[in-house]
Amino acid sequence: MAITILPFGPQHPALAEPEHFRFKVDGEVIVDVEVKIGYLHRGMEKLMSTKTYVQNIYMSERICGICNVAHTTCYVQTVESLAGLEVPKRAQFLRVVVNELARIHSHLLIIGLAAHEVGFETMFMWIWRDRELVMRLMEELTGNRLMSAYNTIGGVRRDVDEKVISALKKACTTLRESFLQIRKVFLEDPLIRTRFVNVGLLKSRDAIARSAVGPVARGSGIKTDVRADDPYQAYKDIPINVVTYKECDSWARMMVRVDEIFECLRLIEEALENLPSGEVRIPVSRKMPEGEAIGRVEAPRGELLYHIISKGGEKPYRIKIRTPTFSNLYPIVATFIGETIADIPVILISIDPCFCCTDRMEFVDVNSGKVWYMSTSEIKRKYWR
Amino acid sequence: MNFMPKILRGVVSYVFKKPVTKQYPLERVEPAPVFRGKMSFNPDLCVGCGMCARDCPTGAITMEFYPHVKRKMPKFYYGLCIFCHQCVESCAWNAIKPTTQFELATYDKKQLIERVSEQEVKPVKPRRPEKKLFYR
Repeated sequence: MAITILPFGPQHPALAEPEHFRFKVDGEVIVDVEVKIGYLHRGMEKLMSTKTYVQNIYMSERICGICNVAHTTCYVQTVESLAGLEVPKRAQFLRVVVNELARIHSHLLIIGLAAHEVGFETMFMWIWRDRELVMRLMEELTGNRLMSAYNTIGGVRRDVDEKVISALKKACTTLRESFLQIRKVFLEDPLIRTRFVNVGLLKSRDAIARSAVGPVARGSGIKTDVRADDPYQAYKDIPINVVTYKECDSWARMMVRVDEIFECLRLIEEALENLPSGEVRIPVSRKMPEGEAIGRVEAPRGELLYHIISKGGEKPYRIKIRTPTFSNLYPIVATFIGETIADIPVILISIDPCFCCTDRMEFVDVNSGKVWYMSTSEIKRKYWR
Repeated sequence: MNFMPKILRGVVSYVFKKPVTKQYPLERVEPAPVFRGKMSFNPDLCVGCGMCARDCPTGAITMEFYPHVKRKMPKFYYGLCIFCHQCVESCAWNAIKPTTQFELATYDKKQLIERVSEQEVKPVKPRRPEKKLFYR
């Protein structure tokens, strides 16, 4: 049979985000995939170097709405290491609480969407009902449901009181109960198992060779987590257990997320239990010293890296960001080959794609149908400053 | 299929519960007391230092000169505001206060611009309050 090209996206009912995939199919079987990223390029890295360090906190938050807490944590952590600041212990613990809350909400979102993608609408509604509880807690703690604006250079912006702490602890118990049920469904339900098990196999060897990060790598049995490997904030004081699955398929990647939620709940409870007293914020200077700094955190989707170059003054010279989906896209492309068209949404959802993170760094050289390439030095000469 | 009893129990229990949706304009839902809503501005306390405009990440605040008092006052444009409340934090004179007001939808964009009128601005010298500032 002749090979057909099946365009998938940038607008497609099975893919919520605008990204273009060209699947070469032989009947129902995929033989090759081409990914074209760049539909959501917003020029954020360049824009960040035109704004001050204070304004960039809110800018980095808007790179990705779902993992906004991870982005701000990584940004402020990098700036703090650039300035050599020591954040108060209480602020570090509160950062862990907010990070884990955001991780729960992100994981719940993608697990719900996975159920929705395979046609299990009841499950989708159940999970999103629990997610609503997490969103309310976020609002009570930070002041907004999604865009937390909680981290700031030198600490966190709000302190918690007893009322919020007891609400958080109560919610942890409720969520754990309802999640035991959802975990059972994911383990045993025939619908979920038929669609997820043995679909999109990514061997451990391939995952390492293609530099997978986060739950994708952990689903392939690789024990990697920035929170455990290179602990930041209060993760030094609260050790975490890295969840890994050896099945290497889409189901393992989803199960890593399901099990991580229990780990997140434990971390929140432990952080609130051992919450030190004192200040939550220290005064900092608007101007940063000259230098370079790198910070990395474990975002819900994997490792997130910020690199800031400062030449002194109020504004950074350059901010480079590497997001988890960009790392995970290359490993996942290989897993499509040999699968059928019906498995495309399941495999894509199993990496928890976030293309608005990814497309921030694309450089598009297409003009009047002609494509040419530019070296870094040429780009620098032409467009840089 | 072994989940069926549990699902059915859930279905039956939801028949007797009140609907979760609220009839919004008739029945008000208040946000959390710490919710970041619209800012309220007090011109009597403002000295026109412009720190709010300088720290605003989106440029929603611009400074406007009032000749009769010889001082600048912020003009808020809520169409650009992202409600991060950095201006509340940056104001050393407590002139900008947070509120939980969220109903800002309008048919006319001009209604989103909030500036103080000339009569409201009085030539008084405000006294600096006790407030700890975190950005220097």
